[in-house]
Amino acid sequence: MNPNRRYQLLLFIVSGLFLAAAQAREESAQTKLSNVVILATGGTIAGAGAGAAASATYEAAKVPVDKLIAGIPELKNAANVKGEQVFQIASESFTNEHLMQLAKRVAALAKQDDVDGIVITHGTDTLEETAYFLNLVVRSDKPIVLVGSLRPSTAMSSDGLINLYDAVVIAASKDARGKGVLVCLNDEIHTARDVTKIVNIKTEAFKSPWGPLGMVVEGKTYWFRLPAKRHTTQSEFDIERIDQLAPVEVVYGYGNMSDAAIKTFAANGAKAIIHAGTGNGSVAKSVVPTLNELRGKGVHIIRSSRVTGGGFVIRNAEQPDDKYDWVVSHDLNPQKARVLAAVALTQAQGSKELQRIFWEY
Amino acid sequence: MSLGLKRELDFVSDTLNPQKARVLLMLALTKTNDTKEFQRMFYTY
Repeated sequence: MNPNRRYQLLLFIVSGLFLAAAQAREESAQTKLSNVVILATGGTIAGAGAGAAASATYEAAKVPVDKLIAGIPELKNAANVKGEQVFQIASESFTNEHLMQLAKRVAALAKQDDVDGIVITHGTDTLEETAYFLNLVVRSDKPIVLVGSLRPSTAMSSDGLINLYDAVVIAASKDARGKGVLVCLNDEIHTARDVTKIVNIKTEAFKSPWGPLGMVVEGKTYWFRLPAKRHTTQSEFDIERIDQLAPVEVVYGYGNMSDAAIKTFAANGAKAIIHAGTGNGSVAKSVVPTLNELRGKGVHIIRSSRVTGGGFVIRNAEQPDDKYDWVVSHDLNPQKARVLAAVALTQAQGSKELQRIFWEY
Repeated sequence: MSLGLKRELDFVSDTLNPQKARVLLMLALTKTNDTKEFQRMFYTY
């Protein structure tokens, strides 16, 4: 073998070794599992019924998080999962204090280098409110995924196991970063801002008026669109600078509506009234004077719609919002409008600023 | 979404939304004040 040829062979072997090492590094990076923390708050996903046929009558918030995790052996292939019981409550009993305690814990965990993603198990009734709240106040690009179930884990064909597995898959995925707080049920990935519970007795309970962001299929995420509104890292709100949410209440619009609830809420210190109006966010003639009187006293009036398939309220349509100095909720449903107003009024006081926030978030 | 009523006086609106439940209850109250009777009507209408 001449020296030149020997040199070429050596070069070939050395570069081969380098390639093999690089490949091994890549493989170990691929097989290295993400660290996901599951924060459990209760709800149906932790519910227990009297028997396998009990899919709607059961006691929510019974099963501890470690038992939930142990019930899904496949989780260990998706991520290194650690459970933490934050609350054990049914979600209709969530208060502002629960929201803040949870958000502060999520924000603290998201700052830890050894946490790659966070899953929150939650009752489905107010899941959309908590998800939207976290979307507004947690400054992190790490995946934060809320999940619940419509049937308790003790029921036949319970949706809890697959939903929790899917949520862990999303939280462990790098693709989910920077997309804001997410909600996963029934294989669909939704943005926290849009998703709402539209039916309570079926497993396809959660829909986004403008469609889901993606899907989880057999342990893999697939994405189709991105949230258009400000969230998490792009938000002007930060849970670390919020100690108390503003008192905001919701009144429901209907035929022959009276102003009694509006007056009572205002007398009890509401800083804003969300009016869940009919159709386009319309307001009955009979309650307009009361709303204007309260606006004169500094209470914000925010028009939303009670329509469940995607209420859309246009400024100065139906009511002269400029003239009355009212705010419209854009496409936010009444319960989400409450969350945004309760957060926004910790900083903004003027109606123009409040309206800007309702367009942007 | 746990169901199950704990108190005697509670009754459920079945599948009626709040605005329709209001209409039915207005009519029911012209006939009776009995919660069991209300519940029967909500299941019937």
